[in-house]
Amino acid sequence: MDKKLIIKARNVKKKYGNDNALSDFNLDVYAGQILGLIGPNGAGKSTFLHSVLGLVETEGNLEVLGLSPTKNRHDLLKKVCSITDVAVLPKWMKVKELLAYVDGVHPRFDLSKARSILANTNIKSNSKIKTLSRGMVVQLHLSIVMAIDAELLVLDEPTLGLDLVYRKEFYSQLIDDYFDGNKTILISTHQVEEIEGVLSDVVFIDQGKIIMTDSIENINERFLELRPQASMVENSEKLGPMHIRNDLGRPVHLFENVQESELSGLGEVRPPVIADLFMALMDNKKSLEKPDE
Amino acid sequence: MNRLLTLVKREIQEYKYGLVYAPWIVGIILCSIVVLVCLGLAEVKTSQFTFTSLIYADPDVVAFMKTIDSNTKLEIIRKGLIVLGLPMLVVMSFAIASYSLSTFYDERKDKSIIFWRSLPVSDANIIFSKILVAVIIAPLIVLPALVALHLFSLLAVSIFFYFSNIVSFGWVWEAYSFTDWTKVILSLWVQGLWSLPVIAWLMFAGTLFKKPIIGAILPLVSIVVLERVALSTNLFYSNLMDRLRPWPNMVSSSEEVRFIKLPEIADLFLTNIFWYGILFSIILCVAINFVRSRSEFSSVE
Repeated sequence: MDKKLIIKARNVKKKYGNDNALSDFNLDVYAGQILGLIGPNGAGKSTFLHSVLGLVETEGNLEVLGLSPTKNRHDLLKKVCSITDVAVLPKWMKVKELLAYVDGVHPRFDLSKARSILANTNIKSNSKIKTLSRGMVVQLHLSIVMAIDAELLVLDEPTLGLDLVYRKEFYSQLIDDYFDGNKTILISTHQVEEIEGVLSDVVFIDQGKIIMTDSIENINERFLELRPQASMVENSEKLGPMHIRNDLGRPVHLFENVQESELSGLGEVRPPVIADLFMALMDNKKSLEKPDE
Repeated sequence: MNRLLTLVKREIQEYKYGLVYAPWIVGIILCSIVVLVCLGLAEVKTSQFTFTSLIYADPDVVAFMKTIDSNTKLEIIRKGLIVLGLPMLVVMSFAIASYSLSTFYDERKDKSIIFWRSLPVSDANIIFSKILVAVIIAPLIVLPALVALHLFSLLAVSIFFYFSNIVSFGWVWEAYSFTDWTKVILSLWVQGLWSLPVIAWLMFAGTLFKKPIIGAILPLVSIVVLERVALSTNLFYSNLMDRLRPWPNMVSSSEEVRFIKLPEIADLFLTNIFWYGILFSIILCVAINFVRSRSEFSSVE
């Protein structure tokens, strides 16, 4: 059965002054995907996420759950949740007041579910949000989001500023308790290595453009990384790696569409980590842009 | 309806010190003053009233009180209570002004606007709920404190009269009109509508400017000065002052202390100047909606 199309972006553009924040952005996101937006600062990740949430107007055609994010924002937000920054919960409020507020305005919020999620944390319902640590605030925000029966969850740097323990806890809670295979999650983060294990798909973005989009499964089949033995470096180079980098003084060759059996005799072979693949693609892109250098 | 109640409740929770606690604190201070006056330890003079217990040492005053007709008695007590409650209403006015200036500014400052706007509540609903709080709900919140102040004062005066053998304990209660409270709230609501352009302007300044107090005052002062220099008129200034002052027939004016009357409200609603104010307020609300939906994103970036 075909998966439901959650986000459809066609030639989406956004300019801030003379800068192209998004340029001819085409993307399909389907139900059940956990899509990671990977890119450097200013690549356009946040702009795209904000446009999905209807926070910025864009040119081109952008539909989220079949709705225009800016024109049907109110209806859309009944089905879309977001955590865009860890510090946005109102600090003056008590936890129980916040839950009551969301319960009063959100038709898909399950108050008892939120309470039961929070019961497993150290967060007291009578606590003021300003007295909670950053990690606890994110935990509270996630608890609220998890109690909303949403179809799409948008996470923009959700664990920014958190220590390792809270970051791990956040993602394990997200996957173990929230994700049910039907929901769709869009994540943008700089800590790629931490979310790599939870992603089903990735989109590499640079300067407002999509460099590559694929599923993790395909990437693992399509790309292979070889750490050739010292005596096999030349042989490996003859196979035409798409990118070569050095890791602790040893060359690492990245291959695309090469069988593992062709490489296995030359050294250690494994799928590349997402961050390394992204860096390789970026390097190649730069080389193409500046062929003389 | 449930959603609107939730929005209003949130506003009251956030600004509870100004909107809820301040009137009660003023009420407690005023009650203390009433007690001190009854004990002969203090005397309070206003332009229209002198609150003192010393006058009851005069036998003529006591004789007058015993023979006074009920209508005159009602008017004296009513005026006394209105004047007594004025400090509370002044504090309420400042609390509403402060609320209007802060409500859209604070959410930008602490970035909570991002969270509020991530929930399925339209910007128009948010703006409406804030206007509702400033014009309708804030006076309603003050009313219990005002009623408590009135009842406490009447009780204190009754006890003073009784133990001083001036008049009977029930003397003040016989004349007191409990329907006055509805007139108070009606008057405050009409005042809120009359001052709506000021409330909306303060909210707009809180939405738009990085320094909302300067942003609220500077353009108004500029217009006043420009008009004065260029046209040698004071039209804007006099209109602005009219909106800042109690409406001419409000709870208290300099000429007379009394309640608003229903026909006067009807007259006000038939004036063009009233509707110009409402129209200006609506335009400002549309502007707030426009700026708010964009200012939030700029704070993110």
